[in-house]
Amino acid sequence: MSRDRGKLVLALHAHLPWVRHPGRTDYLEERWLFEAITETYLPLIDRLSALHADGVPVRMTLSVSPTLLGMLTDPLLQARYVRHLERLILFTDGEVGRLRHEPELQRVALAYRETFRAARRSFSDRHEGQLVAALRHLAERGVLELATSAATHAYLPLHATQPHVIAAQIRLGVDEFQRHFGWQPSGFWLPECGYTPAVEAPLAAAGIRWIILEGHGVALASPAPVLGLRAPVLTPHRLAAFGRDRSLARAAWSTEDGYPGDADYRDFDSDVAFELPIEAIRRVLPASGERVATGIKYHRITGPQKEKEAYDAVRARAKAGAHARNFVARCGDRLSSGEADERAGSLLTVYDAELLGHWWYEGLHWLEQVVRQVAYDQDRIELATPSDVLEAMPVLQEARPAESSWGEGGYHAPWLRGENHWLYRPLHDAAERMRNLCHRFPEARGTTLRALGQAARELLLAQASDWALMMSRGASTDYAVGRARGHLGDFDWIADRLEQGDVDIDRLSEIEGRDNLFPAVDYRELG
Amino acid sequence: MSPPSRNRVNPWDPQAMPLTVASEWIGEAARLAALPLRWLSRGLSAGLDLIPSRETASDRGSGGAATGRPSGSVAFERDVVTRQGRPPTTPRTERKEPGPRASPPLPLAGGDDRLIVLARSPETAFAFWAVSGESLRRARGDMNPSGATLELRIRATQENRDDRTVIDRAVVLPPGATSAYLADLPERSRLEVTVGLANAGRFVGIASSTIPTLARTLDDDTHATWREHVTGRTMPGYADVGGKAPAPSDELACNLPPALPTGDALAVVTPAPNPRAVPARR
Repeated sequence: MSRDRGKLVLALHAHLPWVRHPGRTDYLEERWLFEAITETYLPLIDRLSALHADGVPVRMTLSVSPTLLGMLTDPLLQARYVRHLERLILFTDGEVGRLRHEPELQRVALAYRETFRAARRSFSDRHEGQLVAALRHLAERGVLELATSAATHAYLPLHATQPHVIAAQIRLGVDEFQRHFGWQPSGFWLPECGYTPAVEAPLAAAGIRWIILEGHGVALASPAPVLGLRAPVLTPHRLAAFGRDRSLARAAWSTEDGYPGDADYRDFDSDVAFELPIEAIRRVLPASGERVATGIKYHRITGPQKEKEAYDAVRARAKAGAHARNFVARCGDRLSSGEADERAGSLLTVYDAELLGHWWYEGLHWLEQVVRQVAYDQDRIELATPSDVLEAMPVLQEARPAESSWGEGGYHAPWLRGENHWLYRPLHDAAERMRNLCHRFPEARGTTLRALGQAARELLLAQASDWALMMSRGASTDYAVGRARGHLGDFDWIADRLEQGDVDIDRLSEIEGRDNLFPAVDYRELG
Repeated sequence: MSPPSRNRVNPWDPQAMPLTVASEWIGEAARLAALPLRWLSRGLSAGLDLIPSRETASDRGSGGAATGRPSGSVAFERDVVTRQGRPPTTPRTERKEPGPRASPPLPLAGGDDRLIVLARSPETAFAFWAVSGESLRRARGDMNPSGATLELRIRATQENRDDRTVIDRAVVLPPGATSAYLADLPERSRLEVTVGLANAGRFVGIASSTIPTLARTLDDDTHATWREHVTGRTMPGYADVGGKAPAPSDELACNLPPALPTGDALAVVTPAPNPRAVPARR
């Protein structure tokens, strides 16, 4: 790695909440996972593999939440994903015929059919359903630096009054990473970039070396960082804290002034599920018959008008290439502007992985073009991972980062407001009750051990930041409230039975079968 | 910030704003004003407002439409969980499909007095508490019980002010109140909150909680801020990434940079490798 080029850290964070519902054959929320596999995870893996095979120098960073790792390795969900794909392939067969007199739209239908067929080949034949193994393969070849996150993506600053909760979420996140990948992670994704000083000691104790903060978490550090966001700072617990460059983030995120709102890109909302008679789409709807998005969208954004024009993939990909050129130029400009210090020279931008491919359909093509153009079309920047940056910048400024998040307003309000604040009292009380159970059963065996392990899983699942955020956003609110209540209720039931010395094995088995993540969880981590 | 969809929002996107709102960050005041329930108790103090979180079970999760309350009065969330024996519910607005999971009552540890304060921004916090009947009886025994009221004592201190204490207030709690938002707090202050019984100038604390340091307010242009702080004034310490961690200091964060260190060698040292990290084979 040359020292005269700025280092661009391209990081993605992949996360979905635990959405596994074995008791139902066609559960709507499981489609969140299936759509993300088809549109983001699978094509991301395949594009990175292709870049590596082409000899293109690519270094990227990907954090994967433990709940997502658990779902990607779950045989039931793997089988359901294949079935989901097969239904889509059958449906697009029909669409190709239906649109035979509308060639512009038929081209789009043909492309979708090929996308789904390719996804089935890649998932079933090439990867044999094991996407986590594919990620490990890419990491072992230096394409990816993988990082972990909190066990169930808990929003850690709002657990600051219970340090044992923060420590358990971090420790288990690291343990799960090691279980799936086989090595210790260097990096840890703070869910929602939520930073509070209370996270530092457990992160350091877990062997973590770097974290990512929202830009103002570093920019407002004390003392002020002389290099701004162009270098990480070293926190009191010797963690390297990278600040996210907000300007670069907006470029690929905002519909207002970012790339994804371009008129040539696919319109996310014009889904066929809302355009055809219910009889025509019943095959791809859930068993309830409810109209839900299928992922098949025939139109481009076109403009603010309601009438949309047919999607043109060639035109959209050309635009993504142009946007990649713009992005690479902006990165170079940012790294070469200002009073450059010879140590100055890293920029970090991070996106939700699902942004690329799922929300911004052309996003992965844009990403690939960014990688290629950085490699061959300029000489000011090079791709690097956070560990690469630390290797190149072994001396960092010491500073105390500022409490921060990447949520609306920059702090913790999206996860603590009128719609969701009721959640924090039962979460707090359940965590205290779990702690008491750990003290009461320090060396559990047999059924008691099983029950304590499941109590830990239910408590951890209730702590997921997703439920509070969904309530706050008014999106899938019923589901979020039901999930939070359900996990807390299951925890309460198990705690009652443990305290009374009367665990119903059948009921416990049922709960274990439903929420079967973290098989190696040590309940004492929550003590 | 918004996802690329023009009409839908990613349910996990914490940056996504309602579609009528620009994707830029907006100020804390504007966000608070957007909260469904907000009654500012102007009578309490010039420096501190409580935003009571009075919601009924049916309000919760549905945006909790405000039920008019006169300005200057205070209302607090009653303990819905313990009093009604069931958790909050929301009207079904998106999907009718019932989940397979039962929804038993939420767990609640009983008996213990507790006050929890969660920082939510540089100027706001959320507090919830529980006080047992036994604790109230014991506190009443220490004072004239006639006319005794439950109070929240709120004290904020800042290290970089001469008088240190910038807020020291008492708020009378109505019966059954179990939570409240604390607003207009001074940024970067240490916050101490106590719930207890008060009468005739005497206060018996029952439970308390502390936030070591509230966050610093986000400036409009953070880059301008850090440039202003550093230009010509400071040379912060640098350290080897692989070095031994120092003991963390209890010193509160402060926006004044440290004095220029003298004779501070900035040695460039290769960091110690992490033996457990995966080797990169490039």
